Amino acid sequence: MIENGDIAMSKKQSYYIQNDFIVLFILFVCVSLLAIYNAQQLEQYDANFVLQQIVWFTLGAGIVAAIQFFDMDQLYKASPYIYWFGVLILAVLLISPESIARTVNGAKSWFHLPGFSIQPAEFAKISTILFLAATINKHKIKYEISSIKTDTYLLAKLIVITMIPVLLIMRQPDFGTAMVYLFIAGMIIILSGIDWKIIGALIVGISGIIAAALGFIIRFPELAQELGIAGYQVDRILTWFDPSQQSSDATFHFDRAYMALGSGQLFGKGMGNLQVPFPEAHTDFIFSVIGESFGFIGSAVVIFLYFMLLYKLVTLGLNVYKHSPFAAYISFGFLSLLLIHVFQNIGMTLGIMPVTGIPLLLISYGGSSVLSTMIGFGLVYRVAVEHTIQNDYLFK
Amino acid sequence: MVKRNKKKRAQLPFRINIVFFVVFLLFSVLIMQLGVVQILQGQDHQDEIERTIQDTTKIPVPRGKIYDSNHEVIVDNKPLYSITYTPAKGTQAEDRLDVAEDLAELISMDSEDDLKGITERDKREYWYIKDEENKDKADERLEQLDDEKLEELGVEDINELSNAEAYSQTLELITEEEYEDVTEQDLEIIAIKKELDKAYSLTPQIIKNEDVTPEEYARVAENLDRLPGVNATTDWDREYPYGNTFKSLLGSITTQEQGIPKDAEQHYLSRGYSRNDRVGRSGLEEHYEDLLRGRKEQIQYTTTKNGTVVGTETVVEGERGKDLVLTIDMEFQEEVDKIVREELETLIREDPYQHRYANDALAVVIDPRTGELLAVSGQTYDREDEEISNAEFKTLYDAHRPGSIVKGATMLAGYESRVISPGSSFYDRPIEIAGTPSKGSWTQLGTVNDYTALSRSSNVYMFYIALKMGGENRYPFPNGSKASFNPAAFQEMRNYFQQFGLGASTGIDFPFESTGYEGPDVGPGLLMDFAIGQYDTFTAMQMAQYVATIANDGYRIRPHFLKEVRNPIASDEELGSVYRSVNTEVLNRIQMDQSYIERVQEGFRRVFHEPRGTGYNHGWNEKDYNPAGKTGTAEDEEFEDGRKIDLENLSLVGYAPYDEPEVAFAVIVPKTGKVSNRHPVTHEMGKRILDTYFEIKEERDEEAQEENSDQD
Repeated sequence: MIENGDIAMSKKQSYYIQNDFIVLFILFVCVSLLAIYNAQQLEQYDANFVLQQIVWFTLGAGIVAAIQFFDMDQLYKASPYIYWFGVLILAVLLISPESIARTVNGAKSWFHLPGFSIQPAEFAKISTILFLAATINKHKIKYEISSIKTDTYLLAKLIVITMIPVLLIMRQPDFGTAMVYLFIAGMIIILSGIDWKIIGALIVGISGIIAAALGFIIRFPELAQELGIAGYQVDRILTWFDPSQQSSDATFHFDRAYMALGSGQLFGKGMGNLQVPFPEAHTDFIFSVIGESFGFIGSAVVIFLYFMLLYKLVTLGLNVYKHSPFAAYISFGFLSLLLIHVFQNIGMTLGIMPVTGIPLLLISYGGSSVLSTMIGFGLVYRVAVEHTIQNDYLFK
Repeated sequence: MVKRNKKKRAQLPFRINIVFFVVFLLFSVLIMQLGVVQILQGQDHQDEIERTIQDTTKIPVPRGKIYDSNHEVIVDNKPLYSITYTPAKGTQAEDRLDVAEDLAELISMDSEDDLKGITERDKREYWYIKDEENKDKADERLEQLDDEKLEELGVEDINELSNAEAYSQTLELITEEEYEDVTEQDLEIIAIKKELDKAYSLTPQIIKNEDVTPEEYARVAENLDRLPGVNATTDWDREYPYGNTFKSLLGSITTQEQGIPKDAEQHYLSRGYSRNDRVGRSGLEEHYEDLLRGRKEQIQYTTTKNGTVVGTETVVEGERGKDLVLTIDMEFQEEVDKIVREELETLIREDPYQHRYANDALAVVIDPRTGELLAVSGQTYDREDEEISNAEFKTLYDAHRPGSIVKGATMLAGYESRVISPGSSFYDRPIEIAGTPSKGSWTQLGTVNDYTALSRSSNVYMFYIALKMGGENRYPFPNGSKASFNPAAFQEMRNYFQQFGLGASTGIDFPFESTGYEGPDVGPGLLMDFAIGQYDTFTAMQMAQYVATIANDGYRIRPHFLKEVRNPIASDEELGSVYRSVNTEVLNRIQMDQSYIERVQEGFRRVFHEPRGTGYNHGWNEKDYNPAGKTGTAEDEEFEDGRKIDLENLSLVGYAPYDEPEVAFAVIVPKTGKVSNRHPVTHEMGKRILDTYFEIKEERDEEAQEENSDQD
């Protein structure tokens, strides 16, 4: 009996050790710290970002552990409250005085509190994903049989849930982050099982509107600015479509980062041998530092790491779907979040996506982005734990 | 129902597979693009980084100096030392305090001007940052602020204050006892730190540039390694050992802030000037800018794209500007200034009311053979300050009616136009043309010939020349009748005058000269006025050229200030080799025969030497340098509340010695009052100037002889 008890104990503990996720996490931390350390060798800033990033990752690991104390059911029930809390913080940000929410680069996106700063939109991403997942789950329980009507109803709910934070973020205005929300919502909608016809109609409609809007901005940039789209956003879009039109200010940072990345060639220049200083090397342009330091091979390995993580999320989602669509959609939501950030950020560095201030999750320096990513990671980790437990019961 | 369920179950794996396939495609795109950027274009990017950029820096060189004819420095360069501070990025107040403390030991910054800028806040701040303990003490006080005080500040909690507000408040809490407890050394540190605080990162800020002593400069330069951001540099400024003497003609240069004149920006930029270069703005500094400016040292820096300097090469060796040697003899110049000033003073003091418009006295001394200007003096009296100051430029800028001194030119015009011939005589009595006032000489002189017309200054003789040139040949002229007049005579007369430089540019090496005022109307009466110097106006420089032309047997020489240009050398003691000498330049030879010119010269001699000559009573004939010349008095006027005040311009031109002229002069004192037995200001000036000239010449000859005998 005693022996059995021991086995049960160790089994229970082993549910919480998800080797594949832990190994991936440790690899990302290593890449992140190495890259930030290298960026710091350019001596553009005084702060010790490596040390601070270690603090953020440690805090993040604590959060991951804390999340494991909740079970999926509790999270499911809490999801509306968490979502509305996120929305509330976004709303408070907009009406906060300049003293605590200073406008930086024309956008009011941060709470600047003594000692630290918070970007609420980063955290609201996770709460939104959570609530979207819960909403789909609830819908599927209520309407076991889907029809065009129920699908449309679900779609409407998902759109409303997404648009509330998106509109608040547009008001900041932070165009890039808002696009991330839309992308995540789009992915979840596709995966929610809503009828292709409805999705098709939605895609056609939205892409028509986007094309019209982009066309408008490119043709009439002055008019677009008058209509309230910030000048730098118009600039970025113009830059993307017509590189020769770029203002030197808009392209200078990018040009330096692009040159640095390219000069890494196949094997890179190694640690501490960066030749080209450029701004935001430790945050938005961290991939350029990786490219220059570790070359094509190192960069490809980092991309492969992300691919592995996404693959893990896909299989995890597929596996848990049967037991808990809620858990599966958390997985898919986090997958979408990572996918858009990684593709947009690396794509921007490589010159195939427009320049926006979107960090490379899990690698870029930044408290808010690290912590919010770690919350998402914690949730996914909880899903993985849940899945292991379920499997165990099944095989018993 | 069953069918639907089946379909639904199949939906998710299908869609997630599509999504995953898209993910795979997107990542493939990233890897491919990564390959393009890093492998295909990688070498290009690396080349781009290593491509070097060449920047040329131009280092200004000192301007050329200016010397007088005896190689005494008139315009020198004074080295200016300056201490600058260029903070690195992220420099904190404490860092600046460290630098200030070190600097305070090396330089002095405790003049009243420096210290009066120190505010109470500066002292509080100094107390706050100089010591960690003080800092903690003050911060603690802020934390312990009572509610009442907080309410006053409009906050409930101290953390609500912005950083700047909190800092101000912390400083407020420092007591007077604490912050007033500063030594003089502390005050100096505060003054220096205040200057350091003004600097923007990476931009040099001048901490001290006035009165930096060579010792301070050396001390700072030696200790640069422990003064991060501090630099010691040199610059120069113009220095004038002779003070204000001759300064208005030397001119000035722009300051670094003014840089090159905005209206001629392109002109300067195309000649390799930088915008903040100092250039000659007026006078000789402007005229000889090209010689004085020198050649900037050009250093080419080769830098890589990320700013590392990989090579330094001097492309063009710098060279200080060339030195100018002027024709002016500063010892003589100072003497002439003194003479002109004293005589003007004597004149004004004689009757300050009558002479209330006599503010200027001008004198030009020239070597008639070469055109070398020996002294150019202008003195002007400021009635408000009751002070006489230098205004040499007026000899070129101000034109006056010259009076009878022009009669030599009129006489020669008369000979040349064949209306008179040597020995022609006229009976001197007033002439009255219908409709104009009667015109006569200063007194009725009886019969005068060409010699006596000059020596006794007969206006009537000149009137007949003018009338005859105008086609009025009646002699004696029937007073009260109309004179026939050919207006072309005016132009003819002016043409003759211009051959002497009267009414023409003298060709002087100066950026500006007035050529005088040419009366717009013509008529026989006006031509008569013109013939005696009562119509057109001329500058003192023109008058000097005129008399020099007569002295020099009719050769009009270009007057000039520049004698030689010397190559720059490092030594301060001697001059460099001659780069260029200014040669005597004959502008023209007047048309008149040498025999005619000699008659005028003789007339000029008689002015001083014949008992009835207008200059005879002033002691000229006692001078052993045998002078010749011509006096002049022109009517001038000023208006006071619409009332005309009659005034007289007193003028005198002359040269010496009569047979071998080596010095010529023109003096004019405009707008003197009509006082009986007036101080003979022009004669006194003229005599003393020539006396001084020959005295100095004698001294120099003796010195030279002594030197020669020493050498033997």
